[in-house]
Amino acid sequence: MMKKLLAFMLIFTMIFSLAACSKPAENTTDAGEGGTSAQEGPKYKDTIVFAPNTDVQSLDPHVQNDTTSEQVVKMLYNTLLKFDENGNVVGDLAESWEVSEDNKTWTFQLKQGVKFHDGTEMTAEHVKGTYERAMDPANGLVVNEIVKMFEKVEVVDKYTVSITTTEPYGAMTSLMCNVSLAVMDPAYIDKYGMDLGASAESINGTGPYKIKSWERDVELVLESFDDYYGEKAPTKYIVYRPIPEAAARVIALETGEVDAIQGVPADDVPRLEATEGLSVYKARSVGQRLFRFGCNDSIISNTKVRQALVYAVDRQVIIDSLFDGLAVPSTAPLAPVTWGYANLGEIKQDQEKAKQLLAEAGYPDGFKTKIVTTERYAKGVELAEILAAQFAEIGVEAEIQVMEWSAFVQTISGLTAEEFDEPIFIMGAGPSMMDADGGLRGLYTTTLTGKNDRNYGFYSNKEVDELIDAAMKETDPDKRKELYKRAQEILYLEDPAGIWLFDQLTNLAHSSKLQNVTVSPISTITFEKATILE
Amino acid sequence: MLGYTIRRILQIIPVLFVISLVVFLMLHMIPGDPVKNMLGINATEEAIEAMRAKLGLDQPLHKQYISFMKGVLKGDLGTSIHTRKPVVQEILDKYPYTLKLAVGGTIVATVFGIIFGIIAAVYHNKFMDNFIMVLSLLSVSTPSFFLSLILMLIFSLYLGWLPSVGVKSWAHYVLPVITLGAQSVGIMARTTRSAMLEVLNQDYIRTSRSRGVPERIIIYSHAFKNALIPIVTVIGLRFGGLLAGSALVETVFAIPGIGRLMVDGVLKRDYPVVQGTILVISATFVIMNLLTDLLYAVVDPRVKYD
Repeated sequence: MMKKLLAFMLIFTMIFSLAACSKPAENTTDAGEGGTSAQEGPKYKDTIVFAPNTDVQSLDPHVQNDTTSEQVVKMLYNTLLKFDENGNVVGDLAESWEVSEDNKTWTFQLKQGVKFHDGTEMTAEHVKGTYERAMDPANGLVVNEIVKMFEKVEVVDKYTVSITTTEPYGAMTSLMCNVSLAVMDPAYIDKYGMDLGASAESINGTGPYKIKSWERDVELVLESFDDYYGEKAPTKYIVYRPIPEAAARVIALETGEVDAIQGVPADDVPRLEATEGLSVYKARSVGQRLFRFGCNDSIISNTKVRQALVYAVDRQVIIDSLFDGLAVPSTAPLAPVTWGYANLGEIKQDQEKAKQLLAEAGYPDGFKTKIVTTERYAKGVELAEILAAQFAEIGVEAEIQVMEWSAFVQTISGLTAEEFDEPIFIMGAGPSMMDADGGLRGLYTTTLTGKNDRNYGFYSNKEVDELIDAAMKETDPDKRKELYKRAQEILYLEDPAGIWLFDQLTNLAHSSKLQNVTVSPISTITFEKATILE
Repeated sequence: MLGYTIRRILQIIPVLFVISLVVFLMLHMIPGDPVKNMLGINATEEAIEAMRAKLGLDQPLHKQYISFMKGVLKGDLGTSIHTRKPVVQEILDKYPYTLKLAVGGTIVATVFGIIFGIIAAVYHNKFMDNFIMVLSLLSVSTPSFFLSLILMLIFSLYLGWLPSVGVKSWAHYVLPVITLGAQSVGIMARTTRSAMLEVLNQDYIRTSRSRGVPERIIIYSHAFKNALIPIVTVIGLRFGGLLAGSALVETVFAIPGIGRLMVDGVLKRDYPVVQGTILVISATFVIMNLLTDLLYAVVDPRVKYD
């Protein structure tokens, strides 16, 4: 009997001793959930719990490269300019701005009395320090690509800063709204270097919220910043609790454990909309889903072949079967919320025309090709399958290759035309600066390096190159719009660069008690004005 | 026994060395680039090269491996490419969550598995035996992903008894622990049952019965004790397996454990994180095997290590 006991005790001691080594989970939210702020009228909770699908990757504005990180950075930092509710550019940290006669030097008058979270006053030196870090290619920062045309940044006086570009840049004001160019504290840049934005203590912004705590993959807590120069945030704490699995996220919302969730699966939307106490908010975004052409491919390089494939697709079938209520058919190579968009109309499926174009191109019996896709994009595989089935109806036999994201990224950029082998490949597009320059230049202009750095599909059309270049340098908005319209006509159908399928809607499922959440056209969800009723 | 233990511990070193080499080579052989992943598909070649140099990824492979191993010997597993945190710190932060799950899952599996196994053996070929065996088959073959969501639906959404996701209190661990344990219950029950049946057919059991020893004493004292070796083996193996294989459950229940850390690392090609986590998981697995072997000597006096 004693031996039996001893054996059991040993087994369990073995297990428990390992457990004892473990550290108890730290309770990061002493945020006082359920407490109320002292306000008259309706009572509000002081905490909003939001569940994105992933944790923040980086809170360094120059490094962040995903929606989750971007939306938290927006809460912590400010840019010189910003878009208002109607999509117009207005001042954020800048009081006013002007451009020189040669359209190359932009001077920004900064607001006075703007405080960083540590109490330091924001001045022109901070702007200069921030942008110079972004401009140095040796820093290897994501942001570097969008400030390539910056020549120098100069401090005019304590509250005035000027930026000189190598040539006139028509999208300058849109660019200055990009959160990647948020103003940081150079003292923190020097102190943390590459580790900036990787921990709570390395963040010092001017935004309406400051960071309170951050335990990776568990919880990130923001606290409203009392010395914020603008309108104070009404809710004291915003808690980001990442839930990677979509179904679990939906359940957490239904049980009331979280107040809002990002990335609702299309299948769940109707049910959530019908659930009492829950709402689903949908908004137009810059995001589009397309399949791009690899124009280095001997068959796909033929314009008529590409046009045939564009006509072969029934976009409505795709939306109805996969994204019901969360997408609308595309009407241009840009979404309507992007500045410079021109409505070119929806392309309807026309199989007869497609077959005729194939015959004219010299492929009356079709041909064999390949569609490359990845599951990283929602329903990426199903999209490729529907496309392949619709191509088959005009005689084009497409083999589907599914790639894991990391492998996909490696195969679609940094390659020469000889190395690149993806005749038709999936793509998500949407310029975060919400301007046609960000949505077209680089992506569809002829590559200068011989590699497909951003123009993944080696698309090359002289007229498109000239139009996009002219539009970039043009500062008259009406003239820019005309140039972009023509470029879009060519890209969309005349000499198509891809098959634009649909424009995505950003969705946010939330408790009906949650109000005033800001959903931007670049799909970021922010809470600087949000409140939640008790 | 002490000599044997020391010998076994020393044997762990070459095992871990080979594992580290294989993992290193495999990681660099699979397509994908951590820097492109980090900077995104729009990053310029210039930025990619600059970042690669900063992270030391532009060095020849053998140099990267040697510098990794030098760090390992000093207890430094490198710095995560994505989070910029030391990998050792990452592992120390995440390991407790996985340990709690694995320990909980093993307890559930052991307690229920042994009870069901003994009952099945005692009622051999009767209804109860068949019923338990069908149940255990069901438990082994139900994917943990499916079971997680079903449990969440029932206990969190419909009944409202337990929280669905997160790690804020002990209650958050109940559903993931049941999910993890459920799969092993079937295996434990089957192992216990077959070990028990083998012992129950031995002559000394028959002799005891003929001498009128009460059935309860025969089963618990004579049979179960002698059936323990295979059961201990399975417990050890399952515990090691749960430590390494809880990534799916961690993902569904949003638990920031080491399994998720490893899978995220693989997806982002965060080389130092993957190398570090696999090394730690392998070490735990090997140590668990050693402990299991040592436990044999306690469970069965006939086993002696020289």
